[in-house]
Amino acid sequence: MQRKFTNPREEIGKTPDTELVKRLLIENYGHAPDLVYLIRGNHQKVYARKPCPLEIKSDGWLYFGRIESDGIRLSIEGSFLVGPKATKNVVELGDDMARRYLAGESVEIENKELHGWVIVKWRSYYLGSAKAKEGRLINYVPKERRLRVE
Amino acid sequence: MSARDVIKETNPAFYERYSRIEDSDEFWEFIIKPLRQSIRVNTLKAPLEVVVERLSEEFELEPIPWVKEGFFINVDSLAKIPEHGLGVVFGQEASSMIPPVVLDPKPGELVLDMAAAPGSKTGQIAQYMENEGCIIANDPQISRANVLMANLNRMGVLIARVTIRDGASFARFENTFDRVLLDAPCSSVGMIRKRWKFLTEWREKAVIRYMNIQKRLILAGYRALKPGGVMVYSTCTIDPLENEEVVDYLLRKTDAKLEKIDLQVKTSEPVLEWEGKEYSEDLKKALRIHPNDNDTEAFFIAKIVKPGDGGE
Repeated sequence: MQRKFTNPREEIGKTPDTELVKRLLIENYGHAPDLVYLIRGNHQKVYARKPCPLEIKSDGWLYFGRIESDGIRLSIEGSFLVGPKATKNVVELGDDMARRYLAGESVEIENKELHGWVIVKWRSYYLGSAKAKEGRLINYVPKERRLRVE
Repeated sequence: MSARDVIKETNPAFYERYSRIEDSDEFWEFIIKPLRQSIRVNTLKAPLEVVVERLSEEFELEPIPWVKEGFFINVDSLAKIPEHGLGVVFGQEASSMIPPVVLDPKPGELVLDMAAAPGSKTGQIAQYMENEGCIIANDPQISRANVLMANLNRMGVLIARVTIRDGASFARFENTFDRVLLDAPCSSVGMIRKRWKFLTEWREKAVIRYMNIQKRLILAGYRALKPGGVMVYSTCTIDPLENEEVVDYLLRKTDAKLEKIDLQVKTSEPVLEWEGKEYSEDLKKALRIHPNDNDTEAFFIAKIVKPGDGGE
C-alpha cells in the first residue's frame, strides 16, 4: 500500500503544533494520545507532555518523535504511547527478528507492499518507528539503546 | 586481609567513627562487597506480570520483598536485557526503591522531588502516579539535571517538570505540595559498594558540611508541604549526623511528626544518642538500614507528616 502524503514539514508554523501532530498521528497510526505537543529545532523534533498546575520556570518534555517529509516517525517512548491504541501501520515481529531489530539490524518483512512509517511491535512492547520499504524495515533504534548480543 | 583491615588501612578515621555504630565482621564485609544487580519494572510502559513473565524466560529473577516492581537479576550487563533499552526496566539499587514506596504518591497529586538526579526515584514516583498529576523534579546542577531529563525521557514520564535551582528556594512555595521527597545529598557511605572513592575520599568535615545542607533542605521541603501531606527524608549513608540528627532538628524546629513505616525489610537499631547528644525516641519509627541487613546499599528513611487536614 503506497500512502500519499503532502510534505507535513511545510505545515510547521502554519498549524498549531498540537493540532498538526495529532492529525499526523491519526493519519499515520489511527490514534493520537491527548497530550500537549511541541515541534522544536532544525530536525522538526516532536516533544510531548501533560499540563502541570504549578507555574514554575522549568524544562521537561518527552522526546516523542520527528516530523518527516512523508509522515511522523515515533521515538521508542512515542511508540509506547501510540502503539496500544494504534489501528494501522503496526508491524509485529517474532522473537528472533525482534532481537535482531533491537540489536540495530534492518529486517525482512513478509508484506512487500508496505511503504512508509510503521510502529514496530514485539509481544507487548513497542520498539519505535521504522521505515517500511520493499519488504524491509529500516532500523531506527538509537545506538545507545541497542541490545548487546554476545 | 579481612574487610575490616582493608577499611582500617584505607581510611582509619572512617573505621574509627563507624565502629562506634556497628562493629561486626559482617558489617565491614558488606560495606565493601560489590552490589547485586537489581532492576525496577517500569509499569508506565507495560504491565508488571507481562514483563516478569517475559524476563523469566531468559533470566533468573528474585523478587525484592519491599517493592513489588523490584527484582534482583542474574545479568552482568543491563545492555543484554531487551527491556532495558526499551525503558521497560530500569537499573536501580534495591534499597533506593524504598523512599518512593514510603512516599506512596497517588495519581493527580502535586509532588516535589527536591534532589531528583539521576531520576530513578522520580520515575518510580511517576509510575505510582500512573503518569497523572505533576512532579517538580529538581537538581541544582545543570549536568545532573540533564542526566535526570534523559532518564525521565527513557522511562516515558510525561508529568515531570525539571527545575535547576537551590532546593532551599522551595521554601517560598509554602503549603503547596501533596508530597515531598528529599533524598538528600550525603556522604554516600552506602555507595562504597558501587564506587570505592566514597571510602577513600570520606572525611568527617564533609559529613558536617552535608549535615548543614540537609538541615536547610529539610526545613524548606517541610515548609513547601501541604498540611496533611507526607514528606520522606532519605539518605544513602549511615552517619547519625546526616540522619537522626537532621530529622531530630526538624522535629524540634517545627510541628512535624514521624510516622511508623511498615515494610518487609530488615533494619538496624536507630541511633538515639551520638557524641553527647540525645535524639527523640520517635526516631525509632525511621528505618536505618545497614548494608549487611538485606545485602543492599545502606539507607536511612524517615516518613514525616505535617499536621492538618490539607483542606483548601
